[in-house]
Amino acid sequence: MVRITGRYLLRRVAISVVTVYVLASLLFVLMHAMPGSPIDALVGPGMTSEQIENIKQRFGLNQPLWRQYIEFITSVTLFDFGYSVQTLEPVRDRLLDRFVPTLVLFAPAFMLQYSMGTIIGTFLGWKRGTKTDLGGFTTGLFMYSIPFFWLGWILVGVFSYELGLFPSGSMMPAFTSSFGWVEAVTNLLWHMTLPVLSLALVGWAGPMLIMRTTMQDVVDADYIDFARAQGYDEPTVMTRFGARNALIPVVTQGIIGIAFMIDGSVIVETVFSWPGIGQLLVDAIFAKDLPTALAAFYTLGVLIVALRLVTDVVYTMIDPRIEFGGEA
Amino acid sequence: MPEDSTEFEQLVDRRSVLRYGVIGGTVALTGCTGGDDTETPADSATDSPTGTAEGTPLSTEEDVERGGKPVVGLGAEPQAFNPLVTSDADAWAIMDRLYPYPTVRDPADVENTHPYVFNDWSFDPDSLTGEVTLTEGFQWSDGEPLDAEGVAWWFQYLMDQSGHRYESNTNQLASIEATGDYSLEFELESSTAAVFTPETGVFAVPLLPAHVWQEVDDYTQYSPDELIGAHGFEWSDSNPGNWYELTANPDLLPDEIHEGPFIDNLRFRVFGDMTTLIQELQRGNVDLTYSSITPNRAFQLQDTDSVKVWNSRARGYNYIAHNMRRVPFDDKPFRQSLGFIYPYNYLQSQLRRGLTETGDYVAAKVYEPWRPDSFDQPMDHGPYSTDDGELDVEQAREFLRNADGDHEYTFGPVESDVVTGDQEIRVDGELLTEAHTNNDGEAGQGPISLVITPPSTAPVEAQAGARFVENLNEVGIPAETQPVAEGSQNSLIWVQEDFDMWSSGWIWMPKPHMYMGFWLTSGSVDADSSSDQVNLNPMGYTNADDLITEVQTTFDPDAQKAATKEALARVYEDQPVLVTEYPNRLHASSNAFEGWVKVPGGITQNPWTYLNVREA
Repeated sequence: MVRITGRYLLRRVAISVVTVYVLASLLFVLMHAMPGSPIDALVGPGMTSEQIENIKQRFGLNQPLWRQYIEFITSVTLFDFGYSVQTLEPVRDRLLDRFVPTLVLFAPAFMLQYSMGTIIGTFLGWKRGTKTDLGGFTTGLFMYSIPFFWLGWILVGVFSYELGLFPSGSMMPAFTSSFGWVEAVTNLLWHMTLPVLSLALVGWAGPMLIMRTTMQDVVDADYIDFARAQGYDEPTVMTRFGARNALIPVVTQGIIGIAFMIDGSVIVETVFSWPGIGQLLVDAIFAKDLPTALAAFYTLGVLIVALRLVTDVVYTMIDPRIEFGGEA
Repeated sequence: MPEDSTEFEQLVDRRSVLRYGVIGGTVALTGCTGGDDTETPADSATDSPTGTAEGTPLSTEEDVERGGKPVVGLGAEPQAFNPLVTSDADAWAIMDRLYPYPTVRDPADVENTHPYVFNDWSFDPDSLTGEVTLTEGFQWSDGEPLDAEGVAWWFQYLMDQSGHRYESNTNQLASIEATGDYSLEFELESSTAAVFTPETGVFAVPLLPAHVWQEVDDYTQYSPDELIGAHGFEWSDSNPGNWYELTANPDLLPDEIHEGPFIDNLRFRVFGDMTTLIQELQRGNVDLTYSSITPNRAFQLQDTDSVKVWNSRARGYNYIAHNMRRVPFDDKPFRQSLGFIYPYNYLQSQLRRGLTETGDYVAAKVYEPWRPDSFDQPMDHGPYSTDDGELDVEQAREFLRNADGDHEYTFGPVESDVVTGDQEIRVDGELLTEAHTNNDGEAGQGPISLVITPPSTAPVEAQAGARFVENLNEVGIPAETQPVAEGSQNSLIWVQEDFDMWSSGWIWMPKPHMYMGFWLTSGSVDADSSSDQVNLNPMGYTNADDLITEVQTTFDPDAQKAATKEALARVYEDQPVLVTEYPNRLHASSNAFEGWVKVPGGITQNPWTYLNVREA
C-alpha cells in the first residue's frame, strides 16, 4: 500500500522551497528596511566619503536594489553568505565552526528531555485523574513556564558560585588546548552538565504534556482491555500496548522540537558562554554583523522548514492509519 | 595593585558610596560611533621629543614583582585581528600588546610626546621634510628585527592602500624611505603640527611586520589566527571566542624602553555577559575587567574583599548637540540659556552617583593644560550654568529676556499642552511652537525635541534627557523627548541632520586641539542638509574655523596651548553643543594577582589610567 505518493511529496518539497525563498526575500527586505544602512557599523565619523564608498563597494551596496536582491538570493541558495564584517572570515566557516558545540550541547539535552518527558507523560496519562497525575501535571506546567535563562542562572548560582561543583560556563577549561581523550570527555561532561540540565528541566514538560494527553486517549482503548485480558501485567500493557501507540504525536513534535531547541540556544549559550550558533547570533547582532546574523536566521529557518517536511514524511511512515496523496 | 592614588585615579571607597544617591546608572558612553571604543584620527599639534626613554621613565620601576599570569576579562569575542579594518575594542585589547607605536603618551605627562619605536625625530615645516631615528632592539616574535626598512615599507603600504583605518594619517605622507638600518627620511604633502603626535599624528599608526604583510593580497579580507608582534609579548595559544594567551618575551623589547614585561603570561578570557565576568572576578578566576563597569556593579563590588575598583577619568564627554540651522537654535543666547536649564546636579549626583564631573568645554578635564584657565580667560565666556547645577526658572527666563541675540524672547500665558510652568516663551512675539523651524526653514514645527537613545538601551542618558525636557517645560519652553534607536541615529543625525537637539557622547576624544578640526569646523558641515554623505559636524557650526586652523598650524607648544584655550572658549561661548558631563571609567581588579604596577598604555580599556600590567 502506498501511504505517500510521489506527487504529494513533490508538492510538499515545492512548498518548502517556496517557503525558503519567501524567507530569504523577507530577510532581504528586513535588512534594507532596518533603520540606517547595513554598513552603519563600519562607518565612523572620521571616515571620508571615499572610504565609505569603498565599504559600500566591498559589500555590493552601491549596486541597484534589484541586482542586490538577485545576488543575495543566489548566494543564500548556495549557502554562500559572504564574509563576516566582524571577523572577516567566511560566514559559512563560522557557522560550521559553531555547529559542533551546539550539537554537543543540544543532542544530549534533547535526548534527556524527551526521555524524561515521554516516560513521565506515559505514567501520568496512565494514572489519569489521580493525585499523582495532578501533581505531575502541575509540576510540568510550572517547569514549562520557567524561562531557560532564569533556571540557568539559578543553577549557576547554586552549583557553581555557592557549591563550586560545576564551572559557570564555557565548553572546556580555559587556557589549555591539549587534553587526553579521557580528560577531554570528563571536562566536556563537567562543563555541559549545567546547560544541559537547564534545557532539560524546562524542556521535558513539552513532551510530557503531549504524551500524557495521548496516553489518556489510549487508556480506554479496546486493545488495552484486550491486552489485559490476555494476561499481560500492568507495566507491560502501559508500555508495550499503551505508550507505543501514544508515541506518534511525541515523535512528530520532537522533530520540530529539534529546530526550536536550537532556536532556544540563543539564550542558553549566552548564559553559559557556550561557543555555539546561538552565541554567534547574539555576538553578530551586537556587533551589527549583518551577514552572520542573516546567515544564522536563514539557516535556522531552513532547518525548521526542512524538519517540517521530514515530519510529514515520517508521520506517514510511523502511523499506518495516515495516507497522503492517495486515491480517495 | 598600588595603594597610592593620583589625581587621575581614586579608589572608590565606602564613603563615596554613602555620599551619593541610590539611583544607579552606567558610566559607559554611548559614543557617536555607535559604541565604538576607538578614536578617530584627526590632525594637529606639534610634538618634538621631550626626553629620551631613559630620561622619562614611564612609571616607577622599583620593586616590580615578576611572574604571574593575570587574566583579563573581555565582555565579547574579539573580532578580526586586523588593525587596518577592525575598531573592536576587545580585539585591540590583544593587538595593543603586540604592535608597538612610533611614539607614546604618558598620562603623568600629557603635554609631551615620548619616544618609543621612534627614538628621535625632527621636522622642518618649511621644506615639509623630516628625519627619524629608530630605537634599536625591537624585535618581531618570529626573530625578524624591527628596522627602518620594514617601517618604511609599512608606511608605503598604507599610503598605497585605500579605505583602511589609518588613511587619514598616512595620506598626509608624500614619501618615506629608509636611509640606514635605523634611520628614515620622509616628506609630507602639506604642513601639519601633528606629525609625531600619539593617537592622531601622521605616524600614529601601529607598526606591523612588513615581512608578514608583504604576503597579504587583500587586506580587507585578512584575518590571521596568530599574530607576530614586537611589543614584549608573543602569541602563545588560543581558543577563538573563549580565551587567548600571550607569553611575555622581554627580549623583544629593548631595555632602553624598559625591562619588562614583568609577568610570565597575559591571558584574555571571553565572557558572554558582564554578570558572569564579575562573578568570576570575585572568585579570583579573572584579575581585571578590560571594559569599564557600571557604577552599580562598582558599588556592589566594594563589599567584596577580594576585589578593588579603580575610578579614573576618561577622555570623552557627553553632550547635547544643537541643530543651528533651525529657529530658535540659530540664536546663540538661546543655546547658552539651555545650560541654565540642564539638570547637571541630577545627572552627576543621582544618576552617576558622583562618578562623573560636570561638563563645560569640549575637552575632558584630563586635558587640563589646554583648557581655559577660567571663564574670563582668554575671553569672557560664561559660565552658562547655575552655580549648583539645579534648575533656576527665573534665572533662565531672565537670561533669555535680557539676551541680545538674533531673536527677542518674552514670556506670556501658557498655550502649549506640554508646558508645565506658569508662563510660556515667545520668540519674536510668536509662540515657540510656531516660530520653530525645520532644516528647510519651514515654521510651525511644534515643541522642540531632544533625540535620545531609548531608555532600554541607555537608561541613564534617557533619564537625564527626560529631566532636561521637564525643566524646559517648567521654564516655559515647549519640549519633548524623541527616542530613536542607535542604528537609526546614524542616518538621522550624521546624514540627514534631522534633529533639534541630540544627546550623545564621545568615548575617547584625543587631545582637544587634534579633533576640533573634524567635528567643529565648516569643512565638515552640510549647511543646507542636502548631501547624503556622512557629515561630521551635524550641528552646522562654523564660527571657530579661524581659531581651530590657528591651533592646527601652530608648531610652538605653548603658543598652540594658548590657541587651543581660545578656541575652546569660543566654542563654549557659541554653544554648538552643551557638554553635560565628563564620565569616569571604572575598572575592577582581583586581589588574587598582586603584580599590578602603575604605567600608562596598558591592558585596561582606558590607557589614560595607571592601572596596567608592566609592559609598555
